[in-house]
Amino acid sequence: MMKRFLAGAAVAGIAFASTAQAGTTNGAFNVSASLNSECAVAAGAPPTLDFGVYTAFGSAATPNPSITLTFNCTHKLPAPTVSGTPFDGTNGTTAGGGTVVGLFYTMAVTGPTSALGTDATTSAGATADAFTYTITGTMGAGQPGQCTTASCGPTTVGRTLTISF
Amino acid sequence: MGLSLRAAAAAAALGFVLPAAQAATTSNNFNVTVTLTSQCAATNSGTTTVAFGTYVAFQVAAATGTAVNLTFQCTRGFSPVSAAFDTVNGTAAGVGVVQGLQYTLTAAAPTTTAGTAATTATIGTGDTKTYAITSTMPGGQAGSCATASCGPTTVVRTLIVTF
Repeated sequence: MMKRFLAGAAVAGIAFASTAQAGTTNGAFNVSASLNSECAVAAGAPPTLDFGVYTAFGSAATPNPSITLTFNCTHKLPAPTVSGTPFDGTNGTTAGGGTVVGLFYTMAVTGPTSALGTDATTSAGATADAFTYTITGTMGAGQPGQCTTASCGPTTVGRTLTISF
Repeated sequence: MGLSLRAAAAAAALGFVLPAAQAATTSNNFNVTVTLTSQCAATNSGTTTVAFGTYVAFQVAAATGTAVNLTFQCTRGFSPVSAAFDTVNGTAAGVGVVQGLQYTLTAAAPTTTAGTAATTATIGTGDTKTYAITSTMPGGQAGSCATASCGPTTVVRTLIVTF
Protein backbone atom coordinates (compact mmCIF):
# COMPACT_ATOMS: atom_id res chain seq x y z
CA MET A 1 0.00 0.00 0.00
CA MET A 2 2.74 2.40 0.89
CA LYS A 3 4.64 1.51 -2.28
CA ARG A 4 1.63 2.23 -4.56
CA PHE A 5 1.07 5.62 -2.95
CA LEU A 6 4.66 6.68 -3.54
CA ALA A 7 4.42 5.79 -7.20
CA GLY A 8 1.29 7.92 -7.57
CA ALA A 9 2.97 10.87 -5.99
CA ALA A 10 5.92 10.60 -8.37
CA VAL A 11 3.68 10.65 -11.49
CA ALA A 12 1.88 13.75 -10.25
CA GLY A 13 5.19 15.51 -9.70
CA ILE A 14 6.37 14.88 -13.30
CA ALA A 15 3.09 16.14 -14.76
CA PHE A 16 3.38 19.42 -12.90
CA ALA A 17 6.94 20.06 -14.07
CA SER A 18 6.00 19.45 -17.78
CA THR A 19 3.32 22.21 -17.85
CA ALA A 20 5.81 24.85 -16.61
CA GLN A 21 8.29 24.30 -19.59
CA ALA A 22 6.23 25.73 -22.73
CA GLY A 23 8.46 28.19 -24.78
CA THR A 24 9.44 29.78 -28.25
CA THR A 25 12.42 29.71 -30.50
CA ASN A 26 13.49 31.83 -33.54
CA GLY A 27 14.18 30.73 -37.08
CA ALA A 28 16.12 33.66 -38.59
CA PHE A 29 16.00 34.31 -42.33
CA ASN A 30 16.83 37.12 -44.75
CA VAL A 31 14.78 39.03 -47.29
CA SER A 32 16.97 40.15 -50.14
CA ALA A 33 16.48 42.09 -53.35
CA SER A 34 18.61 43.90 -55.85
CA LEU A 35 17.15 46.96 -57.53
CA ASN A 36 18.18 48.24 -60.91
CA SER A 37 17.19 51.88 -60.90
CA GLU A 38 15.29 53.10 -63.90
CA CYS A 39 13.73 56.17 -65.40
CA ALA A 40 10.68 55.57 -67.52
CA VAL A 41 8.52 57.75 -69.67
CA ALA A 42 5.38 58.89 -67.93
CA ALA A 43 2.26 57.48 -69.48
CA GLY A 44 0.31 59.43 -72.03
CA ALA A 45 0.35 60.44 -75.67
CA PRO A 46 3.46 62.20 -76.93
CA PRO A 47 3.04 65.95 -76.59
CA THR A 48 3.25 68.22 -79.61
CA LEU A 49 5.51 71.21 -80.06
CA ASP A 50 3.07 73.15 -82.21
CA PHE A 51 4.25 76.18 -84.13
CA GLY A 52 0.76 76.74 -85.52
CA VAL A 53 0.29 78.30 -88.93
CA TYR A 54 3.41 79.70 -90.54
CA THR A 55 2.90 82.26 -93.29
CA ALA A 56 5.78 82.01 -95.73
CA PHE A 57 8.18 84.96 -95.48
CA GLY A 58 6.27 85.96 -92.38
CA SER A 59 6.37 84.13 -89.11
CA ALA A 60 4.81 81.31 -87.15
CA ALA A 61 1.64 81.89 -85.19
CA THR A 62 3.53 80.47 -82.22
CA PRO A 63 7.21 81.04 -82.89
CA ASN A 64 8.35 79.77 -79.49
CA PRO A 65 6.09 76.94 -78.32
CA SER A 66 7.06 74.78 -75.39
CA ILE A 67 6.13 71.38 -74.05
CA THR A 68 7.09 69.35 -71.02
CA LEU A 69 8.32 65.77 -70.91
CA THR A 70 8.18 63.85 -67.65
CA PHE A 71 10.26 60.87 -66.64
CA ASN A 72 9.41 58.80 -63.60
CA CYS A 73 12.52 57.56 -61.87
CA THR A 74 13.36 55.26 -59.02
CA HIS A 75 12.86 57.10 -55.75
CA LYS A 76 16.04 58.74 -54.48
CA LEU A 77 17.82 58.30 -57.80
CA PRO A 78 19.78 61.46 -58.58
CA ALA A 79 18.17 63.69 -61.16
CA PRO A 80 18.81 62.51 -64.71
CA THR A 81 21.00 64.63 -66.90
CA VAL A 82 20.78 65.71 -70.51
CA SER A 83 23.82 66.10 -72.69
CA GLY A 84 24.42 68.92 -75.09
CA THR A 85 23.06 66.67 -77.82
CA PRO A 86 20.00 65.06 -76.24
CA PHE A 87 17.73 64.86 -79.29
CA ASP A 88 17.40 62.14 -81.89
CA GLY A 89 19.51 62.31 -85.02
CA THR A 90 16.84 60.66 -87.14
CA ASN A 91 14.56 63.60 -87.87
CA GLY A 92 17.01 66.38 -87.16
CA THR A 93 20.21 67.07 -85.35
CA THR A 94 21.04 65.82 -81.91
CA ALA A 95 21.55 69.44 -80.93
CA GLY A 96 17.89 70.13 -81.66
CA GLY A 97 17.78 71.46 -85.21
CA GLY A 98 15.29 70.20 -87.73
CA THR A 99 12.96 71.04 -90.58
CA VAL A 100 9.28 70.55 -91.18
CA VAL A 101 7.60 71.50 -94.49
CA GLY A 102 10.85 73.19 -95.38
CA LEU A 103 10.85 75.35 -92.29
CA PHE A 104 13.90 75.31 -90.07
CA TYR A 105 13.53 75.19 -86.32
CA THR A 106 15.67 74.66 -83.28
CA MET A 107 14.91 73.29 -79.84
CA ALA A 108 16.39 73.79 -76.41
CA VAL A 109 15.79 71.74 -73.29
CA THR A 110 15.77 73.07 -69.75
CA GLY A 111 15.24 71.47 -66.37
CA PRO A 112 14.45 69.22 -64.84
CA THR A 113 12.03 70.28 -62.20
CA SER A 114 11.36 67.51 -59.75
CA ALA A 115 8.43 66.18 -57.79
CA LEU A 116 9.83 63.76 -55.28
CA GLY A 117 8.00 60.57 -54.50
CA THR A 118 7.47 59.03 -51.10
CA ASP A 119 9.52 56.57 -49.13
CA ALA A 120 8.40 53.00 -48.87
CA THR A 121 6.50 52.02 -45.74
CA THR A 122 5.54 48.70 -44.26
CA SER A 123 2.31 48.94 -46.19
CA ALA A 124 3.37 50.37 -49.55
CA GLY A 125 6.36 50.65 -51.79
CA ALA A 126 8.08 53.91 -52.58
CA THR A 127 6.60 56.10 -55.25
CA ALA A 128 8.62 57.43 -58.13
CA ASP A 129 10.37 60.74 -58.36
CA ALA A 130 9.12 62.67 -61.35
CA PHE A 131 11.54 64.79 -63.34
CA THR A 132 10.08 67.18 -65.89
CA TYR A 133 12.01 68.77 -68.72
CA THR A 134 10.81 71.71 -70.75
CA ILE A 135 11.48 71.83 -74.46
CA THR A 136 11.19 75.16 -76.19
CA GLY A 137 11.15 75.48 -79.95
CA THR A 138 12.17 78.41 -82.09
CA MET A 139 11.14 78.94 -85.69
CA GLY A 140 12.65 82.05 -87.20
CA ALA A 141 10.75 84.53 -89.32
CA GLY A 142 11.15 85.15 -93.03
CA GLN A 143 11.37 81.58 -94.24
CA PRO A 144 9.94 80.47 -97.61
CA GLY A 145 9.14 76.91 -96.60
CA GLN A 146 8.35 74.19 -99.11
CA CYS A 147 4.85 73.53 -100.40
CA THR A 148 3.39 73.08 -103.87
CA THR A 149 -0.06 74.34 -102.95
CA ALA A 150 -1.51 77.30 -101.15
CA SER A 151 -1.24 75.56 -97.82
CA CYS A 152 0.45 72.46 -96.47
CA GLY A 153 -0.16 70.71 -93.22
CA PRO A 154 -0.43 70.49 -90.42
CA THR A 155 2.69 68.41 -90.90
CA THR A 156 4.20 66.52 -88.00
CA VAL A 157 7.60 64.98 -87.44
CA GLY A 158 8.47 62.81 -84.46
CA ARG A 159 11.41 63.75 -82.27
CA THR A 160 12.92 62.14 -79.21
CA LEU A 161 14.63 63.44 -76.08
CA THR A 162 17.10 61.13 -74.37
CA ILE A 163 18.19 61.52 -70.77
CA SER A 164 20.93 59.77 -68.82
CA PHE A 165 20.66 58.44 -65.33
CA MET B 1 39.73 49.96 -42.29
CA GLY B 2 36.43 51.78 -42.58
CA LEU B 3 33.10 50.07 -42.39
CA SER B 4 32.40 50.16 -46.11
CA LEU B 5 35.85 48.87 -46.97
CA ARG B 6 35.48 46.01 -44.50
CA ALA B 7 32.13 45.18 -46.08
CA ALA B 8 33.70 45.10 -49.50
CA ALA B 9 36.53 42.91 -48.31
CA ALA B 10 34.07 40.54 -46.70
CA ALA B 11 32.02 40.35 -49.86
CA ALA B 12 35.09 39.60 -51.90
CA ALA B 13 36.12 36.90 -49.51
CA LEU B 14 32.73 35.27 -49.94
CA GLY B 15 33.11 35.27 -53.67
CA PHE B 16 30.53 37.98 -54.39
CA VAL B 17 31.08 40.35 -57.28
CA LEU B 18 30.08 43.91 -56.58
CA PRO B 19 28.02 45.33 -59.46
CA ALA B 20 29.69 48.10 -61.40
CA ALA B 21 27.86 51.43 -61.63
CA GLN B 22 25.83 51.35 -64.84
CA ALA B 23 25.06 54.55 -66.71
CA ALA B 24 21.78 54.24 -68.56
CA THR B 25 19.56 56.28 -70.79
CA THR B 26 15.89 56.48 -71.58
CA SER B 27 14.01 58.37 -74.25
CA ASN B 28 10.73 60.22 -74.55
CA ASN B 29 9.00 60.89 -77.85
CA PHE B 30 7.25 64.07 -78.86
CA ASN B 31 5.97 65.67 -82.07
CA VAL B 32 6.86 68.86 -83.87
CA THR B 33 4.10 70.24 -86.05
CA VAL B 34 3.39 73.25 -88.23
CA THR B 35 1.02 74.30 -90.99
CA LEU B 36 2.59 76.28 -93.81
CA THR B 37 0.74 78.89 -95.82
CA SER B 38 2.54 79.39 -99.14
CA GLN B 39 3.46 82.90 -100.17
CA CYS B 40 5.21 84.91 -102.84
CA ALA B 41 6.91 88.19 -102.09
CA ALA B 42 8.45 90.81 -104.35
CA THR B 43 12.20 90.94 -104.05
CA ASN B 44 13.22 93.72 -106.44
CA SER B 45 15.30 96.30 -104.72
CA GLY B 46 15.41 99.93 -105.71
CA THR B 47 13.40 101.39 -108.54
CA THR B 48 12.94 99.39 -111.68
CA THR B 49 12.14 101.62 -114.65
CA VAL B 50 10.80 100.88 -118.08
CA ALA B 51 12.35 103.78 -119.93
CA PHE B 52 11.08 104.75 -123.41
CA GLY B 53 13.67 107.46 -123.72
CA THR B 54 12.78 110.53 -125.72
CA TYR B 55 9.78 110.26 -127.98
CA VAL B 56 9.49 112.78 -130.78
CA ALA B 57 5.83 113.54 -131.43
CA PHE B 58 4.51 111.86 -134.54
CA GLN B 59 7.64 109.80 -134.93
CA VAL B 60 7.07 106.93 -137.30
CA ALA B 61 8.83 104.19 -135.47
CA ALA B 62 7.44 102.63 -132.41
CA ALA B 63 9.49 103.14 -129.28
CA THR B 64 10.61 100.22 -127.23
CA GLY B 65 11.06 100.56 -123.52
CA THR B 66 13.98 99.06 -121.69
CA ALA B 67 13.35 95.52 -120.60
CA VAL B 68 13.15 94.90 -116.93
CA ASN B 69 12.88 91.83 -114.81
CA LEU B 70 10.61 91.71 -111.82
CA THR B 71 11.41 89.01 -109.32
CA PHE B 72 9.36 87.35 -106.66
CA GLN B 73 10.48 84.86 -104.10
CA CYS B 74 8.01 82.08 -103.50
CA THR B 75 7.68 79.12 -101.20
CA ARG B 76 9.74 76.32 -102.69
CA GLY B 77 7.68 74.24 -105.09
CA PHE B 78 4.88 76.77 -105.18
CA SER B 79 3.89 78.62 -108.37
CA PRO B 80 1.76 81.74 -108.69
CA VAL B 81 -1.51 81.30 -110.53
CA SER B 82 -1.38 84.41 -112.69
CA ALA B 83 0.09 87.86 -113.10
CA ALA B 84 -1.54 91.11 -114.19
CA PHE B 85 -0.82 94.82 -114.10
CA ASP B 86 -2.47 97.33 -111.83
CA THR B 87 -5.60 99.13 -112.93
CA VAL B 88 -4.73 102.33 -111.10
CA ASN B 89 -2.48 103.78 -113.78
CA GLY B 90 -3.53 101.65 -116.72
CA THR B 91 -5.19 98.38 -117.55
CA ALA B 92 -4.62 94.93 -116.15
CA ALA B 93 -3.47 93.89 -119.61
CA GLY B 94 -0.63 96.41 -119.45
CA VAL B 95 -1.87 99.33 -121.49
CA GLY B 96 -1.22 102.79 -120.08
CA VAL B 97 -0.54 106.38 -120.93
CA VAL B 98 2.38 108.59 -119.98
CA GLN B 99 2.74 112.19 -121.17
CA GLY B 100 -0.18 111.59 -123.53
CA LEU B 101 1.57 108.62 -125.10
CA GLN B 102 0.01 105.20 -125.07
CA TYR B 103 2.17 102.24 -124.33
CA THR B 104 1.67 98.52 -123.77
CA LEU B 105 3.47 96.35 -121.27
CA THR B 106 3.79 92.61 -121.61
CA ALA B 107 4.77 90.19 -118.90
CA ALA B 108 6.21 86.90 -120.11
CA ALA B 109 5.59 83.64 -118.30
CA PRO B 110 7.89 83.50 -115.31
CA THR B 111 11.12 81.61 -115.23
CA THR B 112 11.98 79.77 -112.08
CA THR B 113 15.24 79.50 -110.25
CA ALA B 114 14.96 76.83 -107.62
CA GLY B 115 15.80 77.79 -104.09
CA THR B 116 17.75 75.72 -101.63
CA ALA B 117 16.03 73.43 -99.23
CA ALA B 118 16.06 74.11 -95.54
CA THR B 119 18.46 71.92 -93.62
CA THR B 120 18.92 71.17 -89.99
CA ALA B 121 21.27 74.13 -89.92
CA THR B 122 19.78 76.72 -92.27
CA ILE B 123 16.40 78.05 -93.32
CA GLY B 124 17.06 77.65 -97.07
CA THR B 125 15.81 80.02 -99.73
CA GLY B 126 12.66 80.34 -101.77
CA ASP B 127 12.21 79.73 -105.46
CA THR B 128 12.76 82.87 -107.51
CA LYS B 129 10.11 83.65 -110.13
CA THR B 130 11.28 86.17 -112.69
CA TYR B 131 8.86 88.01 -114.95
CA ALA B 132 10.42 89.67 -117.96
CA ILE B 133 8.57 92.88 -118.79
CA THR B 134 8.75 94.19 -122.31
CA SER B 135 7.03 97.25 -123.68
CA THR B 136 6.23 99.14 -126.79
CA MET B 137 4.96 102.61 -127.57
CA PRO B 138 3.35 102.89 -131.01
CA GLY B 139 4.66 105.48 -133.48
CA GLY B 140 2.62 108.38 -134.81
CA GLN B 141 1.42 109.67 -131.46
CA ALA B 142 0.99 113.35 -130.73
CA GLY B 143 1.50 113.16 -127.00
CA SER B 144 0.46 115.87 -124.57
CA CYS B 145 2.81 118.71 -123.62
CA ALA B 146 2.35 122.49 -123.37
CA THR B 147 5.99 123.30 -123.94
CA ALA B 148 8.72 122.33 -126.30
CA SER B 149 9.65 119.41 -124.14
CA CYS B 150 8.15 117.64 -121.21
CA GLY B 151 9.65 115.12 -118.93
CA PRO B 152 11.00 112.76 -118.23
CA THR B 153 7.65 111.92 -116.80
CA THR B 154 7.14 108.85 -114.70
CA VAL B 155 4.10 106.85 -113.76
CA VAL B 156 4.14 104.01 -111.33
CA ARG B 157 2.89 100.63 -112.49
CA THR B 158 2.57 97.41 -110.54
CA LEU B 159 2.72 93.78 -111.55
CA ILE B 160 0.31 91.86 -109.38
CA VAL B 161 1.05 88.18 -108.93
CA THR B 162 -1.82 86.04 -107.75
CA PHE B 163 -1.06 82.84 -105.86
